[in-house]
Amino acid sequence: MSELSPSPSRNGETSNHIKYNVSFSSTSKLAVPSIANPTLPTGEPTTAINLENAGPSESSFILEEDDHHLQVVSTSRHSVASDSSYPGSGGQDSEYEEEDGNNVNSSHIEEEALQNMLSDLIRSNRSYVNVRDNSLPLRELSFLDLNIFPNTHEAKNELEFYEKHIQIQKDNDEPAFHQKLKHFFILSTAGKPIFSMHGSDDLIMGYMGIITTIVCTFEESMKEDFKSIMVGDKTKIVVLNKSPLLLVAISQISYELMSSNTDSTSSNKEDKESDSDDILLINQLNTLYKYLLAILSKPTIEKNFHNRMNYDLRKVLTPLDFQNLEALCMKLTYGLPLLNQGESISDTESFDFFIGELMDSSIQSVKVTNTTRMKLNNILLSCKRLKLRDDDSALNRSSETASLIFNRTTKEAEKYLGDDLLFSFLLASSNKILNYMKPKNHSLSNEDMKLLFSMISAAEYQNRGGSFDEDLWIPLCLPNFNPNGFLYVFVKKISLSSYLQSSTVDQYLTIVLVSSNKNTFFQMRELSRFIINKIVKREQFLTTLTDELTGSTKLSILNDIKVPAIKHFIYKLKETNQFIMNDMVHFNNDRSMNTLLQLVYFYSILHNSRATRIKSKLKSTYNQQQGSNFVNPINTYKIDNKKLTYVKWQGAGSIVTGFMLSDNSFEFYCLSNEEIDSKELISSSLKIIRWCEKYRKRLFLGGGVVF
Amino acid sequence: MSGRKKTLLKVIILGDSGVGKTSLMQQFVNNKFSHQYKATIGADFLTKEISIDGNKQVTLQIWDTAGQERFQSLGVAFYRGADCCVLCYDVTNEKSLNNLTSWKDEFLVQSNVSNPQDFPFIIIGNKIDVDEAKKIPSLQKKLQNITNNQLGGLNYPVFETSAKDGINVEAAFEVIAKMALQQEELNDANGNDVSDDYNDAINIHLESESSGCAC
Ligand SMILES: Nc1nc2c(ncn2[C@@H]2O[C@H](COP(=O)(O)OP(=O)(O)OP(=O)(O)O)[C@@H](O)[C@H]2O)c(=O)[nH]1
Ligand SMILES: [Mg+2]
Repeated sequence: MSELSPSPSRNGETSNHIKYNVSFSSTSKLAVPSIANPTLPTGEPTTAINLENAGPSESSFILEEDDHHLQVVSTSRHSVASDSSYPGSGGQDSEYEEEDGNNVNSSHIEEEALQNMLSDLIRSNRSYVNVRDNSLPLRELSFLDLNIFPNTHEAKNELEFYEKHIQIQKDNDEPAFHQKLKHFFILSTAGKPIFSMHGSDDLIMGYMGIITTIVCTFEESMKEDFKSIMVGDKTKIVVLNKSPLLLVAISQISYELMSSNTDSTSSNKEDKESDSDDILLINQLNTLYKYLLAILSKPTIEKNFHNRMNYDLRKVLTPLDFQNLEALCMKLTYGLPLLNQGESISDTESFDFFIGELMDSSIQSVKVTNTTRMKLNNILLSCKRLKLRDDDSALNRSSETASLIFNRTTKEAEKYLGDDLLFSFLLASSNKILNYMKPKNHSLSNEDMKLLFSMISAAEYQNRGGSFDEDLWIPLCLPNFNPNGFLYVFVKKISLSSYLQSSTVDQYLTIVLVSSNKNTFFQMRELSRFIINKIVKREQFLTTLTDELTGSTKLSILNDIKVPAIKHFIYKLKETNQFIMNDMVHFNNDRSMNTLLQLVYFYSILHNSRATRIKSKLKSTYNQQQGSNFVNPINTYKIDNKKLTYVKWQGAGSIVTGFMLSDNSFEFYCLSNEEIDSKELISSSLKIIRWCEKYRKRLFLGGGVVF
Repeated sequence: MSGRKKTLLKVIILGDSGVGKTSLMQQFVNNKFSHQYKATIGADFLTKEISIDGNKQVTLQIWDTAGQERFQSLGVAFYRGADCCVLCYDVTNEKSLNNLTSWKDEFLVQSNVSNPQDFPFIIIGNKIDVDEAKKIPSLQKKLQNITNNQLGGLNYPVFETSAKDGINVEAAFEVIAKMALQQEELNDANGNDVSDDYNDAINIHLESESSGCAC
């Protein structure tokens, strides 16, 4: 039961960064937790969080029943099959506002319980709650204050720090190379470099040799894979061996070095248990690896290296691939896009990507009403029903060439235009999923989807400033779906506002059609025209859609949910692994690099904080009360696995509170950068959670439509 | 389709301890020479860019190994994926000449190259700057015995160099690069390079249960 032992102060240092992880669990979905005997710990060494020296090291203590710090849970009701009052248990989403009386009641009890719990926690540490010196003026927080990275004090300002330690630099300058906080290398097992995030070939060549030698020596002499090593306590090197390729990450970034929350790792975590501390960097390396698979496919890589280990994979990579790899490195590590000198961040795609990765390959969805989503679903579904020669119906006859080619190539064999259409997506801003259509016996993993969307973003980035006339046709291997072959992706981005007379904002929609047949470009293009036509045909629908998308991409807690105290939140639905969050602009009133890096840091810490589950005692309590024959005890403690994490950063006149609440159905993360007490934090959080629950069908598209 | 014009070649330098492997590499890459002997422990890595026939840019990634047995612990890691191999001896040390064959055999065993007959090797006899008196007596004859030997002879180009005075060093590495490049081009011409074929479409059965996906 090592999980339940108190306070694994893993980094072994005294703390100036405090974190509470409270876990509690109730016996059923509806059970209302209350604190029977909140005897809280007294002797814990705690200090106020101080931004000046808040580093990666932290001591966390975990309150849980085994320590008698917290007693869980006396429940009032025990039936498993009763209502679904708990937020996250799949309430109704209707187009109308309605409140169930029962829900309100039990929600109140729950809210109070949570509030008590949190305030007890905080009260037990008065020193830190009231430490803020109110005489200090609130000045704007800088990511440099957070000691996210070593050496922050050396840089005069954010820009200088970025240029010195973060920005990609490919020249021969060795001291500059060593100042970079993050490195990625991809090389062949023979030691030939394929890609490096920083540094010139000359500069990295020697390191490639050393890495290969170390990895292979482990392999040969110890018959073991080399996985990771800490150099001092500030640098970690992680290697992913995908022979004939080696992928290496070297990080000095505090939020990447903290041990992560094992709870959220992938399904086969049993055998990965020992790697759990490396999982974040390993996942990053996997993402880079999958990029290579996506553009080359596994057999191509293997065939090239077959019988000649000296193969130089760079020969088949294009300059665009190198640029995409660089962009991935920046997105994975910092949530930052590739920026030219003096360029500022123009969209949040890279930040969205980062959060999705952090949330275990979660996909960001777009809020629209059920009606709108259904209409779009139906448009996608009708693509599968379009007869090839049925020219006069919805098909736009403009394309003479296309029809000619159909006549020549398809003969009698194909009856429907969309016969080879496998998956289709409608995306808002090229990375947020609005609609998804799939066949009944196939589906795409979230990882594959993220890869696909990332490719599309990259292609669109390449084409930025260009016209919307371009139709993209990309051969792509989606490795989880099938690592051995290619699918062919048709991408068309349209500006909805260009079809509207009166529109002021730009709103884009991306149509993605994934075909299994290389020769179906014209069919897919025809389908995309059909879809566009259907969407823009009725002005009223188009206006509604445009307005909804605009509102959704600028989701505001203040305006949409009417919660003033919380500035940013993420709500993730576990069932489909999709998330939504509000516009980052509301955190600091800008979308600057400074704000972005702060959010990246806060959410990384919140997400990776260790939260412990409680199982054993609960089970026995429950069984004593219920009799073991009544309910399957295994199911019992699987049901409502609630956890919360609370982190507070303060100093330099600024204060940021982070809060996480999760159970089996959702994860909720939020940040507030003003003074907020536990009561308000809980009630605001629950309000947002309930809002997400209530509009669940608007916020999330579920598993997609099936044809 | 090629992303980069530059070809990268992995070159391995083998030979007894003290024959001047590290010195050759230092002379070639940095134009430096030191009389002091410092045994190589494990391995050393250096790179140099050269142009062949005035137009082809080649980056040589040179892996210098330890001649002393106790510092050799690298094995396959080291030899794997080499594009060419340099076998070195010292013109004043007969034993180092006689050992060339075993260095070559060791390399072929460890590297597991696909066509050992065609693999590019060259031989370098180093330290030709020293007094004639110190050199191996009737060196040319002995050398011929080794290179022309019917059974597993080392029938490779031979260069006599001085890492000290920089004699023939560049010429030798140029030939190394050319040979490796030729081998590489031969490989590519043989159609081993499966670069831009995106034809591995997946057989998808939308109706049946058989699955094209592994999920
Ligand atoms: N006169 C002369 N001395 C040389 C020459 N090349 C190397 N030496 C000397 O020979 C000694 C050994 O040279 P290294 O290059 O260290 O030998 P090595 O083959 O790398 O030896 P290990 O690392 O032990 O395998 C040094 O003292 C060098 O100065 C040469 O061309 N002429
Ligand atoms: Mg040496």
